[in-house]
Amino acid sequence: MRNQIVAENLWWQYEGAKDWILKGINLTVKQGEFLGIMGPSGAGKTTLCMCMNGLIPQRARGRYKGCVKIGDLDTIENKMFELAGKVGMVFQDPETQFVMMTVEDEIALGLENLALPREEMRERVRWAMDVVGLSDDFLGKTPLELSGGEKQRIAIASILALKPEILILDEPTSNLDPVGKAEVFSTVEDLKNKFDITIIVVEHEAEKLAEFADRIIVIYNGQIVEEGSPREVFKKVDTLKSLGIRSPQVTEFAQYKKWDDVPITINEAEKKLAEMLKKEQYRIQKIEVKTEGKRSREPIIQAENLHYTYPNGGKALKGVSLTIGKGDYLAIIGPNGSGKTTLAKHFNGILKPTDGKVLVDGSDIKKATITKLASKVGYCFQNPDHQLFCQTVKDEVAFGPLNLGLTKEEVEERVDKALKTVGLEIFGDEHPFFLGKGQRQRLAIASILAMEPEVLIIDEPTTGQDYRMAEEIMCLLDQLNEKGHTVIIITHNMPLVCEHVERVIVMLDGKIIVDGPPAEIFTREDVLREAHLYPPQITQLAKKLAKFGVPGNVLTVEQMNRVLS
Amino acid sequence: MPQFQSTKSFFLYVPADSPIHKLHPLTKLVIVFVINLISFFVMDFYGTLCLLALILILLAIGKVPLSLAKSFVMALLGIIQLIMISYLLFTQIPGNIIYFEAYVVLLRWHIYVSDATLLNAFTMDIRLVTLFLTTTFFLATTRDRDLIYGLRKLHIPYAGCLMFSLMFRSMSLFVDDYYIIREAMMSKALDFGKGSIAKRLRRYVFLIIPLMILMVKRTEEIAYAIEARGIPIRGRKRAVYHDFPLTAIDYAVCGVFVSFFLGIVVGKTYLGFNLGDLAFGIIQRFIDILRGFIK
Repeated sequence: MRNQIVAENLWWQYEGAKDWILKGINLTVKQGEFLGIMGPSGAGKTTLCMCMNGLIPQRARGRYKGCVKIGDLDTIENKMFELAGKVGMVFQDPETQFVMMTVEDEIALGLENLALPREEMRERVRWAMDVVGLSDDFLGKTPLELSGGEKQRIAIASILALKPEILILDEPTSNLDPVGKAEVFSTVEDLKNKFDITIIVVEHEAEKLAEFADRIIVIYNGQIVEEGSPREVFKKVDTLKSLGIRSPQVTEFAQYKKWDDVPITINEAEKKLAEMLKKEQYRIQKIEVKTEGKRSREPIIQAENLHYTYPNGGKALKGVSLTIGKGDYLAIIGPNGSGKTTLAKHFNGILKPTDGKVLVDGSDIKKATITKLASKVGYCFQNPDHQLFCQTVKDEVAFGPLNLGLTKEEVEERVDKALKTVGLEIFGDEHPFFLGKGQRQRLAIASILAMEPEVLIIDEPTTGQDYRMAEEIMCLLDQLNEKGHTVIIITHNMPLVCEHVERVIVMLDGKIIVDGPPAEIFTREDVLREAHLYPPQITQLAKKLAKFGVPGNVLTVEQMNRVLS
Repeated sequence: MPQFQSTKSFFLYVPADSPIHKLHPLTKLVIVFVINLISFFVMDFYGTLCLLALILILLAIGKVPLSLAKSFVMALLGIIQLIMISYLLFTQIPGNIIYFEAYVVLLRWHIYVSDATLLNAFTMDIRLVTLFLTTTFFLATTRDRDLIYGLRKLHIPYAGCLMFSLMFRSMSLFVDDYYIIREAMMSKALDFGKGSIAKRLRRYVFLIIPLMILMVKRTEEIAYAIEARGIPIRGRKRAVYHDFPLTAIDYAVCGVFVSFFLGIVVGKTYLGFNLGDLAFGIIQRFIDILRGFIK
């Protein structure tokens, strides 16, 4: 196979940045190869992708050293539009890369630049839609009518229509819900199987890359630190962990058991374990799974037959009743548009019920003021960019307490305490804009913590964060919960739910369909199917081994390790 | 994503099955343009009334509910009052005097209200309503993307059309961002409904910082996404994906409206013909016939 991408000693430093973000990358990608790129946030993954289609050095500003050849094209000498014919790139945010008003125009946009005859453009649009598995009915739709997964598939289609030799996908699923993720991955799988196209994917989820990738590179601090087949890379579980990357759960399990030949996909693990269980190499232990957390009986939030209709007539909540006790640690899960966020926004009075009642600490939110509710229930939004408005980190954290009307001394005390809790005390005088993404997320949490609310609601605490940052944030929440705060998270991250929370609420179509401890939820096949939930890989493995007597309520790798001894 | 934003088009578009909806966007642009132009030539009361009637008929054909206009009725009422007051206080149009009062306050200012003043003010108001309704007519029957098709048919350079398209896209992102930021501020105990006007205004200043930061970030992302698809800003031959054929009906409608316009201009400048006089004559005849009928 011939080499399709050759990068030699590649260096890049963004204008205004203190350090080089790429530090001497050497990389060769062969035609038809499926390359996975992993690494913690800020390691330079996206930057490396941008070097391959000429955005760097042709558009982004900064310092550049080295060279990248795409076939016989050079990313410095050849124009961007020449490179675009060979290298297609799909970005992370499905929202900002959809630039036209309809799906058809979106896909046609690139084709028009190739100056193709109209008939051929039509054919290619239809072909591309077919490849990503969307019917012709979608052609006339506007971006406002599409789900995140659909938008991302259209982004892929609009690149495929150009028939590039190389397709680069930069964290294509990190902004999507589980349904969207599954849609995009099955599209990627199709591409790999049906076409001779080189695919490069940046992805945090090791389980997916283990299934598809021919080769994996791990980037850390601007350099390639690990390289090899998925098996070679993932079996270094501890090394990866120290770099902020998680191996597939089945590989972690094998590490616990110190197996020599490690499985990296669920099928491999199943095959191996089935054989071992047949030979009775392991005994199956019953484990005690908490079915009832340390839930107190004293309620803090109560919702009774809650209905909410948006001004445009969309019914987001259709009769929700629940009680959240003081000190609960719970997760609200369910597909996008199921009403999770709408429900949570009632808890601090951002939204008022159309019908029904919400009581916070005994008082009706319809009568309470914003100030009073905000001091009781803190709500942290998903994207830190939406909630940081001040000039320094300290001001940012002081914003809420000042609105509560506290004295200057009290405010200062709270600011120091909150910043210490999230580990940002040394950045007090920095501008929030110059913090990294994970730091901004923690700052957003600190700014809510400073108001010392009893209840803390966090919308998607870990989206787009690497494993280590997600773990840090979750540990922080664990600590807060232990101190007595009620913690509510809204998330799509199932391993996280299994490892941390005690109670799960599954929402679907504006209603709560199940409410219970994670071990119970993830054994209910009907619920999982209905709400499009995918349990963690280790739970799936346990279910596959049910015929050997492995209990289906195993939620973490650590539990699985105890079950099989 | 917040769900309050699921308007299918950023405009006031009301989907309906009407002959107007089937017209080419360019034709609708011509209609709007012609009515606006005519309103410069027709200044008198009856003529303006004719234009108002015309746009009302068009709205009816387009099945556009008038309730759509209610969102800007309040603003419109304000402007109407302003026009009335300024006519009453600051104009001296000769006619039968209804009210007269002389003031000498440094400037020699006197209030002079005649029947002609009232009629002129009223005419001005009707013109304004007509123009508002014309815009409503266009926005309610044309999707934003159709507008872009219309522009491309006019051979507006591609970069221009792309800019329009991006503008609509970013407007919807901007509105989403605005609401989320507002809610985030409410979560930090900022009550938007409380305090003096100056305080309220200051709160909105806070909103601007994250809005700007997000906008700058998005602009860069969008620019990269476009370039990654090989879109040169200028200088390369492009194909056109859509064929936007104008039908015979489109040509006919355009023809009618353009000749209507030419008729009025030529009639007014060379033949002394006036739309208002014609309308007045017709109304007189109608009243005469009615009288005869009653007798």
